[in-house]
Amino acid sequence: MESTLLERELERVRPGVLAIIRASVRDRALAEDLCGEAIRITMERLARQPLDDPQKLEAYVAQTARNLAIAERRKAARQRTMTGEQESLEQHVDELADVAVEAQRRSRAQAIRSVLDELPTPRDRELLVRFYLEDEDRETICQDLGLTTEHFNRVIFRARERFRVLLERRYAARDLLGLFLG
Amino acid sequence: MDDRLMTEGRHQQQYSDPRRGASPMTATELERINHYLSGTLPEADCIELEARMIGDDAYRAEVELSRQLRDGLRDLRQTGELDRLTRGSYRFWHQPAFGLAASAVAVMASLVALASYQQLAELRGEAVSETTPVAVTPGAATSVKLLRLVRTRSAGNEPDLTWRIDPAVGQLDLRIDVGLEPAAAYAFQLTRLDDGSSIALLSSPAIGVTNGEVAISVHAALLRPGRYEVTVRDPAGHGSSYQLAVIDE
Repeated sequence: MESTLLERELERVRPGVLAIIRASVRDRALAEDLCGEAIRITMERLARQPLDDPQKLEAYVAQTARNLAIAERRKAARQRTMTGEQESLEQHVDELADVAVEAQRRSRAQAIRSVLDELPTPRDRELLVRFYLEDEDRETICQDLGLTTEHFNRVIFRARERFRVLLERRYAARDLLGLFLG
Repeated sequence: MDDRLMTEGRHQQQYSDPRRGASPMTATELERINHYLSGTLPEADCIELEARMIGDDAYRAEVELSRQLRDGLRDLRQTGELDRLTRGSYRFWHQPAFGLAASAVAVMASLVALASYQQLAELRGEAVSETTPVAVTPGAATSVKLLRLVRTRSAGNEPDLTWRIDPAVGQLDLRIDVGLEPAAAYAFQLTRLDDGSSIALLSSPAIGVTNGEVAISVHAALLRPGRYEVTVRDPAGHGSSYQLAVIDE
């Protein structure tokens, strides 16, 4: 794959790469840095050693993103166990970052609260909380709410759609990006 | 007799939905995404899912929505607001059983009206189709326990109909999801479609919405082999129609 074409392809897959990293890295700025890093690493490696099958580009860049996200998690875990001077210095930086993260978290919570409050059916609220927050299995929820599996499929789909529509209606797309990527 | 009730879901009018056309995710797929986001999806499945996220924008949007929901709900719990929001919100009249019981009362009233109408029609010597039910006494039909239901369409963004049959009482429960923003009540009509004619079997001017659904209970004895149409309309006249076929196998 020639360089320009590869660049174009990597730009195309960038949102997916970011989404993969965001699945495990909640900090927006860090996730964007890692995304750029994943694209750069893929670009450099493939410039040296092109893929036999260009169809495998998506899997390749996904794996690169995944590896970077895992490495970041490990690094964060190591930082939590540090002691002494280095810890003190990094703790100061972390505290500043924590204030911003906390403010972001509160804004996001406010957005979700407003939307949940607006959901027209109380069952939607219960369903979303049990399925997405409590990670309860479908059988238990179905049993408690008197739903068949087929009915559950439709109800959860609708609950998500109602949530999505209300969220989009209440917050402009740009604000949404700020809230949920932040 | 082994009856099969089949829906074909022919919508005459759909409710507004900005994402109409998007394919719905199955609950199994949503669970898979949940496992992925909670870090409990096996490695091989993760790789497959992530490759799909890269190449499929619609799928990635679904994963992102799930992530937003999970993160947002977690934030809400941390701020202590979630319990306040959900506590006591699911009251007894929101329970499906209550809604169904209410609609069953409405439908039974319609059945009485139907029976009266048929008696009057016979008295007047009007032609009544041979397949139109004349006996609707609960428990009188022998075919009820054999009634089987086959779904022929999947849930989409548009209004949708699901059902459940209780063979013990021979009752067919219809649940019509009326869209993302339900009105307070809907007019309902069940019509039998015969060759070149239609006969309204049941109708109600206003059935309340419970959990975003219009819930109707119909005694299966009413649905003899033939074609039927279920229609729901909001006060503005917007709504949907579904065609059902009860087939004698």
